Amino acid sequence: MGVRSAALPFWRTRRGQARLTSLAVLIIALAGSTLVLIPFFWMVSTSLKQASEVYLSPPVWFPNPPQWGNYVQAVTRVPFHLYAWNTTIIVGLVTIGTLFSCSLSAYGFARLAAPGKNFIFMLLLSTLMLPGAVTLAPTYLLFNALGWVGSFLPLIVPAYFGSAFFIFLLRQFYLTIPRELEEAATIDGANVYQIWWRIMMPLSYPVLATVVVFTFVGTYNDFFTPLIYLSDESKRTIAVALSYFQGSPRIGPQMHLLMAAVTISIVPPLILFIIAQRYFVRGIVMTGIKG
Amino acid sequence: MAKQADHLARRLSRRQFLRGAAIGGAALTSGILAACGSSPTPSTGSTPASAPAQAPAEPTKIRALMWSNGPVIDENFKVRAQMFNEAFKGQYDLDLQLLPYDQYWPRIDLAYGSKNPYDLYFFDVQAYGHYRAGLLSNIQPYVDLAPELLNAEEYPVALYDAWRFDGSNLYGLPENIQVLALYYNRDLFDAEGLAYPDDTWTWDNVLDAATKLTKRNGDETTQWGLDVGVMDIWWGAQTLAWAMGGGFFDKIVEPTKFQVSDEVNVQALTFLRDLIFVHKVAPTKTQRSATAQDIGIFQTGKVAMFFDGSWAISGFQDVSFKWDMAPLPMWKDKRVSAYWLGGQVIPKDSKVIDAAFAFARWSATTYQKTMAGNHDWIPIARSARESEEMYVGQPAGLRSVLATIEGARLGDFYSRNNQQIFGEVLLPTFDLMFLGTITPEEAAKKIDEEANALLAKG
Amino acid sequence: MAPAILGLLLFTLGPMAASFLLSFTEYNILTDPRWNGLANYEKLFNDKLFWQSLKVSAIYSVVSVPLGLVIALGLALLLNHKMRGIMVFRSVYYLPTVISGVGVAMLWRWLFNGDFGIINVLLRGVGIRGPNWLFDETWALVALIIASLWGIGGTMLIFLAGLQGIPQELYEAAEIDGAGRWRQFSSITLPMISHVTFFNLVLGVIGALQVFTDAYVITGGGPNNATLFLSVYLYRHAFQYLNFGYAAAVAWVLFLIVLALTLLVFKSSPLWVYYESERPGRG
Repeated sequence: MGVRSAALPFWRTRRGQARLTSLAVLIIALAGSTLVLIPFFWMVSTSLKQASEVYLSPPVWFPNPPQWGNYVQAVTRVPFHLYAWNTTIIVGLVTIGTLFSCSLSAYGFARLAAPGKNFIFMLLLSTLMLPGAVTLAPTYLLFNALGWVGSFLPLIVPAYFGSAFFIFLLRQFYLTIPRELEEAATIDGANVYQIWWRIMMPLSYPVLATVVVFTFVGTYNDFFTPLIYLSDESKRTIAVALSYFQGSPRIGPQMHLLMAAVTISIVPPLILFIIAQRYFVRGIVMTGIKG
Repeated sequence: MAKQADHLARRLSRRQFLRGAAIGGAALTSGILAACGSSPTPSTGSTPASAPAQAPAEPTKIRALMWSNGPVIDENFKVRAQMFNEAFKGQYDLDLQLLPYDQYWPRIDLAYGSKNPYDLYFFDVQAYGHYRAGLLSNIQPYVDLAPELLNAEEYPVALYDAWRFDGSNLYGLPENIQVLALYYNRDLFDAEGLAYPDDTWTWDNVLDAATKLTKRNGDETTQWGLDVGVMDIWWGAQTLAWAMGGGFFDKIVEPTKFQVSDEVNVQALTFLRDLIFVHKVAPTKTQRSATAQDIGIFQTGKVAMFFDGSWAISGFQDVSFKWDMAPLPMWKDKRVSAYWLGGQVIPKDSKVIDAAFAFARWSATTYQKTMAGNHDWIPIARSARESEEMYVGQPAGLRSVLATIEGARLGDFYSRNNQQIFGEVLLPTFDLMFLGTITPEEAAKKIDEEANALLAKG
Repeated sequence: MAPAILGLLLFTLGPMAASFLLSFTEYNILTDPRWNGLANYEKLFNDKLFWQSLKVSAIYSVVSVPLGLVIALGLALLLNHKMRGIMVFRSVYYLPTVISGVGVAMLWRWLFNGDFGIINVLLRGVGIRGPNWLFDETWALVALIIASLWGIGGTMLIFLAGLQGIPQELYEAAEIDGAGRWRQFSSITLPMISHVTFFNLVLGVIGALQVFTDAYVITGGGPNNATLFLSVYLYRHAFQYLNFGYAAAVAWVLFLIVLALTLLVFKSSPLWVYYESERPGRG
């Protein structure tokens, strides 16, 4: 190890400090995680119960024997593979569309000088401020006039025109990137699109990863929009399928099956999130700027 | 005033014109063919599978919507659609879609709003608003041509009056019916050696048994004699008011006045409330939710008696104890249960009303037996309701419960803003009353005031 | 930028404008709208349920937005450490946002159950008798605030992305200059993430005032309208009472409130939001 200065105890050294910090982080994160995971534990536990155990009081924590068959039921009762495919198409197309349209627009708002830019930005932001319930009817009538009701189009096309939430987010990040890079590129003869693609995008991987994750989860979990525009069973998505497990006002849900379905549905976004973590790499933005 | 509306309407319809022309043309053609081929003549007797004079080139498409009740019952509806299409192969093609309840009404409304209504959908109270907007078709002429539907021996025709919205014509065709019942936990009764509830029981019997069946452990109650169940909802409590000779409003279709403050009504409310707060044989709402979820208190096995609708049967199939059902208890010697009709309504602007009616008619006749066997809804036709299939695997008391259909009254009322009255007046006020926050007198006064105000507005 | 604006106009602003016009009509979706001027606006000022719902939404926002920001930032700082397995923790904290609304609602109803819901079971473990959350007029709103904090993973993620962009060199330089932990935090971290704090604050305000799913599904606006959020109130009028025109009027009143608050935050931003690209002295 080497000789350390006799005056400093371990916990005062740099390594000691780092170790202590890590330990503290671990403990706190662990404690918080337990709190956060309790509902999930309940969910999985219920998904493994028999129907008669679901409402028992005091509650059953570890159903015995665990009903793995619930998962099979949840997936075979409905054509899950079809729904998964539909979901993949919709979510995939929306994520790609959102990513490109929003980052391009955000770049414009962050950099390009256009008359009334701030006004338009406020206009953009204002689209988030009106509760969706009251735009539902006019939007539906619009899509109906276009003849898109009953197809995937109302769910996919709007994503290609940008979403205020992500445009705002990306704009915030682009504003932090110093102008020197672009000035250098412009001198080299690059146009707006090239700068956007070659410089801005790679510099913002963490936030791009965030956009992808958010869009994915948001679209994946959206059951309301598909239910309003799609009625064909063959066009349902996973989120929609989940909402069919909840019964009706007079007939309660089959809780164990619902929980099994919900547990299954968590897997894809979770996998995506784990993959996206790779892009949360520190310091990419500033390295290469100096000098 | 109408200018703006016209303008909006014209703007939208111009955009739709080209699209609509194509679709409309096809629909019109098949509609005409269907009209020619399947006019409801009684010539072929009671079987609805009548062969038309000339078979249309292509089966008439019927777009129908129903709300989802979970995968099991949804499957039954899919099979029903298949059965209908088989029976009318080449003639009709029913496309029955299912939506979760929360999206069901917005979808139907939007379909109307976009001038593309469904051809048929299933009734719940909200559909009355559609009648008031002049959107439902009067199906009385069709029913008149199918007299078996009003055969008083087979159908509880007196109960159909609720759906004669204009006073004389039917606007929907009933196919199923629900009533209220008293459910009880046989195991708990056995443990005490008490006799089971039956159709001779009065509320005194209930109170008596409940007292014996309530067990306490110090401050806590470990077992309740009963849970008021749906009796803490206005349409449940009203059955007691009816039995006592009262009623919360003057008439079912377009009531003009709420009269909950009448002495006899307040008496009914007080009695129910006293079960919780005076006799302490039933849990309060907070205690009930503490013991179970909003649906499940009976399923936990902690209450001996429970009031709910006949629709609750399927939910109790998986419990771990033995149970049965009995009719609502009598007050002195009078018993009035509440009933709800289920069935189909057909929009006036549907292009295939004949076809849609054929489905409604088939559901109310040929399909009834299958409905009995499915044990999901209660068929309205007596022959199906009293058939053997109806009772296979069902609680023994179901028979006597269904016998209370005669003499039952509608557990709803129909007015333009009834949803608002339910949601903003009746529900919260009953909540407060059964939580013990306000007295029945105060609650009655509040309801009358606010409900009458809303009635006056709309 | 141009196509985005066009599309935006068509798909978003168009229906928004339509809803604005509809707020001056009597519209039940089923049939065509009928003009009735300011009647809807008059009605809403006189409806005590409107004021109740405004109050509920306001209290909820005032409490949950700052609380959410602080907790999210704290978590992001916590999880910004290079540590083995930090990815696992990040996934755990993000997990709640991944569950769809349907499942979440059922879950929360169970968790907040007065007798055997986990929350009260835990409280009992430390000797506190928990309230009957969802049926208690005071505590129902608290329950919803807690539920919203559970889903703080999204905000945390955005803070994390912001933290990732702070160059290590700044901290090293500060250390050399003798700055302590707190000084580093307040002089480096906070300003350097102010661009995301700004975003989270604005969206937090906008979002909190429009919260719908949790309130609608978990408590249904009850008990006795204690959790009647503005969004639930107007949804009811739009789709249950067939007062779509009235609902539009309520929505636009809400819109003006949100707009005003947002503009306030924007106006204050030059005071505390720092953008690297706008460093003084640069062209």
